[in-house]
Amino acid sequence: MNIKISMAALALGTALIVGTAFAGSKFTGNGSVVITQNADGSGSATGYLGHIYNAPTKVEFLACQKSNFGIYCQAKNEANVHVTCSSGSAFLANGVGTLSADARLTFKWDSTGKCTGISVTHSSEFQDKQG
Amino acid sequence: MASRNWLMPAATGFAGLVAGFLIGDRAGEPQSTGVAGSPVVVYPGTASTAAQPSASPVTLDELRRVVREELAALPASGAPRSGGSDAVEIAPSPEQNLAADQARAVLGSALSRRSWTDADREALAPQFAAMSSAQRTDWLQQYALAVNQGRLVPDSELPPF
Repeated sequence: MNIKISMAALALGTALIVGTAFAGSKFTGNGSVVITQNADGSGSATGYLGHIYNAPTKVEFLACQKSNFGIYCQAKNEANVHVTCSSGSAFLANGVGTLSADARLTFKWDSTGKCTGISVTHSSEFQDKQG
Repeated sequence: MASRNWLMPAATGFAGLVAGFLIGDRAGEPQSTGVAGSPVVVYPGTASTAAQPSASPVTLDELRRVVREELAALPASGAPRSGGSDAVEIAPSPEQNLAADQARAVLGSALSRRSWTDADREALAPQFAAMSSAQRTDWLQQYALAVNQGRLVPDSELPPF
């Protein structure tokens, strides 16, 4: 009886190890909001939406939205630095339209506060939002 | 089956002969130089049009008239007529200018407090809706500039409008 239980445990353990080993590459950073501001007022913000949501942090967030006038993006990091930009560009609005809940989002702005670029990345390496 | 191997080459050859006769017969017909489905332009006085004046639905004079009309309809600067980010914006109405003034006042008040609150958002909403697209863009850039420079601190993650 004990031999059967031991064999079953061994099989289960092996299955778990194999499952873990072939689960795929994973993003290993913390995914937090990173804000870069240049001397001329331009800058960029980037972060991983799923990672940010799942993180124990309390302040940071990253968001983009589109409406009938264009897009509006904003980000805040754990140091309470809040940045924002907007644009009437239909091209950037298309980029925002591809955003999913667990994507990596990067947006850039110029010295006037106008959004100049948006990058949306979907990857199996990124965490999904939990809970 | 193998004995009928000559059938396919023979049939192909016969079809080719028939096609050749048909094409050769059409060679004597008047030919159109226009793209299929498009009208053929006739140049009065040329030998080809003199031979078949009824083949063309559009004359050179008509073509000239259409070109003149199209050129007259173009903006003087050569800018696109409509659509795209380069489209000429209509000047804002007095109501839109009033809304823009009031929206700037809301922003100015928030800047003096260095804080953007729910009350500011509510005060801005009707003005924001009334402003023109260009005025909204301008206002949002002023807002963004103030936030990015730390002169204005939004109290939540909600957009300002």
